[in-house]
Amino acid sequence: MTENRPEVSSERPRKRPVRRGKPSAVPVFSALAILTVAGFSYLTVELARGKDPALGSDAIAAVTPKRPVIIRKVIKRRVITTVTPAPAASPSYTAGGYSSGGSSYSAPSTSYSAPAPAPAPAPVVTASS
Amino acid sequence: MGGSTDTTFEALGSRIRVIIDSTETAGRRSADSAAAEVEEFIHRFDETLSRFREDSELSRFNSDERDVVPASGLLRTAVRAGLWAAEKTGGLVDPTLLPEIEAAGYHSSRTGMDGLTVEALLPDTPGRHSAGATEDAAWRDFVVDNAGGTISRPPGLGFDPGGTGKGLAADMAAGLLDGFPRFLISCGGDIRVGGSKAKEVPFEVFVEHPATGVKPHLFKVGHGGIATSGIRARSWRKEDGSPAHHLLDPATGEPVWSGLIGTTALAGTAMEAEALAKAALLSGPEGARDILGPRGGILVHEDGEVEVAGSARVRVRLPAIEGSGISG
Repeated sequence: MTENRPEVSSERPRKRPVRRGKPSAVPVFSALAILTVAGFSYLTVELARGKDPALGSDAIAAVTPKRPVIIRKVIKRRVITTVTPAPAASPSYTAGGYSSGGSSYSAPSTSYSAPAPAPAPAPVVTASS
Repeated sequence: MGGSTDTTFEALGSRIRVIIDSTETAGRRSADSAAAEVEEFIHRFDETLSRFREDSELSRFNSDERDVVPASGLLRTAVRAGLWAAEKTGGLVDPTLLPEIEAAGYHSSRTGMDGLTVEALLPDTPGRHSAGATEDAAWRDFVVDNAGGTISRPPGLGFDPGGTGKGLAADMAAGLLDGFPRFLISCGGDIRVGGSKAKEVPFEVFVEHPATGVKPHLFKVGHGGIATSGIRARSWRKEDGSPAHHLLDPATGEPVWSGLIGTTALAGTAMEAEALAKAALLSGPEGARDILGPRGGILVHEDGEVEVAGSARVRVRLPAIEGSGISG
């Protein structure tokens, strides 16, 4: 007669792993949303303060001195000078250049002195007189 | 024909300068002809109103023994201007101090004569005080009747246009330049600027320091008047050796030593600027700030310090004046 023994196994019964359930989508999306909003808020504040992270660090900006912008109004004084030709000097004829009997004729060479540059106008001054 | 002209000549005991820009007046009279008109007018002004010319209308008027004297339009205008300046300055610029100015030693033209230097002038001078006006000033007795063409005043009461003459000449000459876009007339430093374009391109007017001759300040004037008054140019020593100049205290009839040696005023016209500059110098530093403040101007103190009056008050330290004991 056979004994029906129950099978005995030396192995300890396996503990069934506790299977965690799939995380809910709500907290994940909430966390992502919070992180995104925080990130954009930080960037917004930084940009508003003039610190664009893409442009470099504060240290560089601090070292570089701000250059003052100077707006200069340049007023040009226009001096309109009427240049009159110098009076013609007495023509100086080349000696022997004129032949009374022939047709050869040396044109008189007229020397003009170059007009002197116009002096700058004197400044207008108010003073006791 | 367009163009510009810059003319200088002598009149009114001073140097006159006329600058006219006529680049936008094509088809009208030229700047040269306009400058000639101005010169002719100012010579006529001088001939009529000089107290140093015996044949001038002013000299004849001052010696006329009648109560009511027929007067030309120019003389009436000059007297009215003098009375206006007296009223405007509360009597400080008094046009009737003729006997006093002559008694102080200013009885003939000082054209071409150098005044005392500030170094020579100041150390010997008495204490400082501002000028004062009198209630019953004689200038109030003048009556100008334009309709009748006369001026009345007590016989013997003379009129001296010295306080307003050059400014008035510049203003009246400016009337000859209507239509020109930009012009400047300087009568011995009493300056009138006009023309619509001058507002866009103002004239640069330097203020000359009365002691050092340097030009510590520059005004860009696009319209109106600017004038300077000072004690140096017309100063001298009296027979007793005491220093004198032409700016008198109406209360005493004596030259004023107010603590200022020069003042410059900006105003709507050259004549107003001239009157304000004189009143400011006569008033001393505190009074001068009040007079010059509304329109702007310059005070030059005895120690050489230059002060800008008005909204942009700045004090400029200048080098000491050597040899005068005056520190800068």
